Amino acid sequence: MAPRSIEPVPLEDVLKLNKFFRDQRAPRFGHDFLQYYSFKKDFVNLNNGSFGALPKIVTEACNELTIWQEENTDYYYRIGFIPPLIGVRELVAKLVGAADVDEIVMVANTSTGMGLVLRNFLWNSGDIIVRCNTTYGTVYKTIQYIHDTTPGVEISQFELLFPTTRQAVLEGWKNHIDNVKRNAPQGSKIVAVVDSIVANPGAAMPWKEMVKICKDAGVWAIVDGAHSVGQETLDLSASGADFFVSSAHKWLNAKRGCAFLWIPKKSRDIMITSIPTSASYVSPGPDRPETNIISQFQYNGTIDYTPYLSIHYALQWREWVGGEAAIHDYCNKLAREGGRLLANNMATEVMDPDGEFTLAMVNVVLPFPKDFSATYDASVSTALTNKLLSQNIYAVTFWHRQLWWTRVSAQIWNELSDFEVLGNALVSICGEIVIEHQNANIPPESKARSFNSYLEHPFPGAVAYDTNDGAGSLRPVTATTVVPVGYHTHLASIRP
Amino acid sequence: MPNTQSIAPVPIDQIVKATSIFQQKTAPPQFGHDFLPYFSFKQGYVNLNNGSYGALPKVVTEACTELMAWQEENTDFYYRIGFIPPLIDVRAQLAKLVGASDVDELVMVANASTGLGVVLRNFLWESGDIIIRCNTTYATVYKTIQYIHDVTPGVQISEFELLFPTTHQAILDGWQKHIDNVKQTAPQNKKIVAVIDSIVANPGAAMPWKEMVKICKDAGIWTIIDGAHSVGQEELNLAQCGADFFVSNCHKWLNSKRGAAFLWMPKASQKIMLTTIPTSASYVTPGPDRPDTNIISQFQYNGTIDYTTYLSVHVALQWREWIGGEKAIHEYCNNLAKEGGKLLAQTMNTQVMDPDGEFTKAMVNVTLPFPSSFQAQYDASVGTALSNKLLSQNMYAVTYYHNNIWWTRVSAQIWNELEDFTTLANALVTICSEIVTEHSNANIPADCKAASFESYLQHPIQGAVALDSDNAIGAPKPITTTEVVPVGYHTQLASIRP
Repeated sequence: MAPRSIEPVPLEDVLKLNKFFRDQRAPRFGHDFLQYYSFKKDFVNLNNGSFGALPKIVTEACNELTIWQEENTDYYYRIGFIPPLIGVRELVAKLVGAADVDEIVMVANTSTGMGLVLRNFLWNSGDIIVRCNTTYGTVYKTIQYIHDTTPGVEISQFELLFPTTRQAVLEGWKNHIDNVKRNAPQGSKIVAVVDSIVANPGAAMPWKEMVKICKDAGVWAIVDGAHSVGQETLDLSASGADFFVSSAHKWLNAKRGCAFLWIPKKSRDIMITSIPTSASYVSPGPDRPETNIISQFQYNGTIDYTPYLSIHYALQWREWVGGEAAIHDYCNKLAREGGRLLANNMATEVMDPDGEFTLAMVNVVLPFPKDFSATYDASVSTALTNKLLSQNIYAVTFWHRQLWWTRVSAQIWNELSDFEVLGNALVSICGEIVIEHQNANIPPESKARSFNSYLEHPFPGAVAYDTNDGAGSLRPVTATTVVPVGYHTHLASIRP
Repeated sequence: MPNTQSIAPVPIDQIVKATSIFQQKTAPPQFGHDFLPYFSFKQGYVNLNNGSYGALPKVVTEACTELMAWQEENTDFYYRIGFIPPLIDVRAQLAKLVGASDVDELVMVANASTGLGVVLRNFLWESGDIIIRCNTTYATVYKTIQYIHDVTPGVQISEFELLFPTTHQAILDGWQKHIDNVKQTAPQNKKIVAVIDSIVANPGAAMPWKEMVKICKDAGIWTIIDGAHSVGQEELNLAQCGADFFVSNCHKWLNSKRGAAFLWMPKASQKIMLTTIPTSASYVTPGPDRPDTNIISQFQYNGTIDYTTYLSVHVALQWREWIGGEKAIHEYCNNLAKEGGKLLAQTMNTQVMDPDGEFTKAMVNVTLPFPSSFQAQYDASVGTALSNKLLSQNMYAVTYYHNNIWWTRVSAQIWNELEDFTTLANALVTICSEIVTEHSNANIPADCKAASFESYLQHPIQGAVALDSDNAIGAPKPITTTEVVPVGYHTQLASIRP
């Protein structure tokens, strides 16, 4: 039997798709790009922000990677995946300005990465975790859980209300951090979660300045950068943050779920274990190698590494379409112009007219009567989502500061006309919802007394609106009473 | 023309066309090599290690491609509405398969390590609590317990020594004694939690786990079952088993895509489960306002993942029906494991670990043909060499060190035949003799030697080495850019697991 090589194989030799990038020229940004994605016919995708979109060519690469995994799975898991994975970590390290490949590890998504960091801190009574009202749902609740189960850990919540200005945010943040610091017990640690780009609203924050305020006060800064990589340029070594997590499947065109966690060397001591704990875990102590946490992240339970490896192709795709700067430029301009157009169309306002907070996402008030928006009602959120999807279009909608908004993502397949289509759809949808409400046809279990009570009491039961009936009869669509179809939609009101 | 789109949920069977082969009533082939074309193994690869990672039939692979394409058509529909009913359907099918009382006792997780980790991490550990593990506990679980001990003052580990060969009776006698001892010496009012493998990985050994559970329950001890290898390899009736938690991989013996596993939490155990990891946005603080089923909600969505792995279970179950059904599969694999093990031992002139077959389902363990002096001293480089040399010969079975002997664990699957065991035997005879020669020529990289098996567990190997298959012994070649993870290292993990 002829011996086979067990040499590691670069991805270039595994995948046969090189010719695409060599032989084809990229079209101009806009609808000409739609053919390179898999959206169902005529689906107007104005929500790249939540889940990203996988270009067809990266999809094909992933399919090939899956087959490679099946050809000799033992080779793959014992030898094969390792050098390509390290290669991907090197590419990411370079892209985001990390000092070293061993500062970057891959995780499934930002929620996982943030959870890993928060759970690795050894929390003591008197410690304080700083979050915002706008902190992402899974992170918000991770902090809640830590507080709930660790006696004496306090939560200090910073209230972030839009519209606002960067200056106001920074002043408020400094006041808040100063207060927390002043009132903190001696010897306790303070850990702040800072969003680089908030999800709802979609707002790019002055996060580096916020991090500096933390560091100057001796406060740990964990940055939830879920939306950052691929939407803005990053230089993590210069950022001063203690940890940074970002999803590669949102704006970087990698396969879901793929994210990276940046652990600069100064922060390594905090990171004791991966979750689940790896077989290579070594108890903290003099015998534990410095790089043990990096080993742990390489393998800690059988997963499909394809999403991580897909970054290799996602980055080639982005080069081919025009490169990071060109992509950011196009999306940024379109977000601003599109936002203005949308606001005009609906006779409402853009949240951030000066564009201080705007990269590739823009927020616009929905055309509801003012008193209609004053109290939060979860059924409005379900209705908005379901009706948008029924019209083969999507943008996130959310409730913030007693107004309903839409958050629109501008991507390389979008054009201004998409914003027009959205505006028309939202005008009629909002009109319908107001009428339905007046006709009191809202399921009682879809009403929440307040936004906060909603967060505390998720809905039992399942509802779906039958598009044929308009308001529709309620049809349970789950076999359990636990998770409403609309419920997950409501999560969109908080995130992502 | 209005641009409308139905938002009604869609069953998987409407999305997936690859399974039309099942509806066409095409007859499946006979178990054995005739099944090889239905899998993706590269030409000639002799796969005797289903146990570690499973294998995805081509039909299920194609179905997964279709499911991923569906995900991209309207990703918002998928994540806000579309995936939910199919996922609940998969949970319901699995609940039925494994004898759970209700779909809401079963949730999906990425793999057994994750499932066991989330259970262990949900217990609110206090000083005086005791966690019971075995020397054979799966490494990620073993180390999770280690971590909990390391960071929670006063939590003790009590380790039960399981050494093969042995008998079910001897294990049960030993386990009873161990549990009695622990119970006797445990502080009052503190909890004791035991992790029990239904089927140990190394060696591949089906345990009298239900009896072990009963011993624990009678003593008031929590039982968490690591059933990683169970579903698809043996029949399960979880409602009857008395355990508090059970986790099993669907991608090992049930033909689903990696990584998909289920966590069974009977209603009585759900009060332990406060949070998913990561914590879901639907988490509610424990208290009177928290719905009973909150933990089930949390598992539905707690961060963006590709649900294709979970949804693939639907197609995997159709595949297994089509090829003959659970019983026929278990029977074929069981018979082949026993006969194959005997043949392997004969050909290599060694022994089967479990000649009576008490511990044997679809995996069998046979001593490797090393001289006894060579067996006695653990050397991690031997594990690397075995693994690399087997792969170089286009075949694989797990090799590991246990009770001062090197063994192979061989998986029998529906694509295997007796002849594969002969192929393996001949390869191992050659490989083992090569390794002995290389050792006596003292050409082993120094950093591949471990002073003892325990020290190996404590000190993972620095540096990266790969044995150059052209040179046989070869110069160690760093193939990673970091110093952290040796290629051989992961192979060493195979010496412990999976």
